[in-house]
Amino acid sequence: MSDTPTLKKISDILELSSFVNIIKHKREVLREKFEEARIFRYDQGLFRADEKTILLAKLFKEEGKISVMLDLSGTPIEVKDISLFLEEALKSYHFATNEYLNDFKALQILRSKEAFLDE
Amino acid sequence: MSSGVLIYSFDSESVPYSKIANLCALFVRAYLELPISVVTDKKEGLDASLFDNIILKEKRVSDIRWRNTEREDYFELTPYDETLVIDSDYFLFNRHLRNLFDTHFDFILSKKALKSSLNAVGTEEARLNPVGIDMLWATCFYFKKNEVAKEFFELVNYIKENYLLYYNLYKIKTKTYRNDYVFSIAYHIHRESTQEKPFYNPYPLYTAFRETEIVKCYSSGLVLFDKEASVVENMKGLSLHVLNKQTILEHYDDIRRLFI
Repeated sequence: MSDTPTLKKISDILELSSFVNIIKHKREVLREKFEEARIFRYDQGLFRADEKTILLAKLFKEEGKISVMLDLSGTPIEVKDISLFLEEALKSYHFATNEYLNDFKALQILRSKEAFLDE
Repeated sequence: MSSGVLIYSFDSESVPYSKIANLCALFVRAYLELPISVVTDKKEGLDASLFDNIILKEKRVSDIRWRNTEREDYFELTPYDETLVIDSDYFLFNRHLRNLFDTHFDFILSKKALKSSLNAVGTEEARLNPVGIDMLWATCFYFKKNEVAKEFFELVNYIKENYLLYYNLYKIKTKTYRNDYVFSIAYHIHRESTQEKPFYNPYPLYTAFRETEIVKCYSSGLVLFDKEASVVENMKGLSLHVLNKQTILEHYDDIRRLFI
């Protein structure tokens, strides 16, 4: 952590900021982080680990056939190992949601403007 | 296939971009763990230990008063098969951009830009004119060294050489030359000719505009103060394009210390 800004300056800045606006902004940051974290790469394609992708992968796995998934750009990607694809999707989904949850819980207990600087 | 990051650093009269490039390289090293090359006209100011390659290039005398006008040589200058080009004032706080490598894309440009307040950027930053084509950002882009990318950069050069024509044709509102405009026009033409479905960098470009100052620096992100909105913005975890060079330079030592 840096220590350049003087405490006076930081307190001035906090004085000017509304607590509600700081929380609102931080919640939006967490949402953005979550959206970024659930993008994953599989066999040259980029995918989002969302409910639709995961459920479709599960369905394909049950079918046991070679599957084709459309990536974020709409490009068809042949998924030769659907178990591995599903594993990657779930890994990204769990990582993103767990981080989101932990960050959100940490945010809920913050009740001072100063704490936001270090959170 | 070799992969790496290319940073351009040409000091201006008012901004020592070499110092800012040093900070940029620290973040790239920490998060992407990829080789870094810097293109510059002089080694002074750069911390050579942070870069794998220092590519010297003479500063072009140009009437276009914008530092990034050198950038049309990306394709020839990059030593990598796959290159991520980032502006020296784009600081990474996660490793997401690594996902762009080893994909089927020939090049990926950035379109979605948000202010650090997380509001959408204004019309002047979103389009070339109020009813014009979408603006793409040259702040961060990826390309493979292949024929498709080569043709795209040739198109970029052509537009640049005939900038006045395209400036009028696309009814660009602002007088200032920007690489973003040239890239936007080039991509518009390229996409029209290939009929490709557009695809852009899936990671938005969070931009702290000039009215925003750095308050605290962490290795995981920056805390900002948006003077216009009077809000403290804790941006931890999100990479950030910082346009206020003064505030970067004021925190130069603090940021360097984070990685010692």
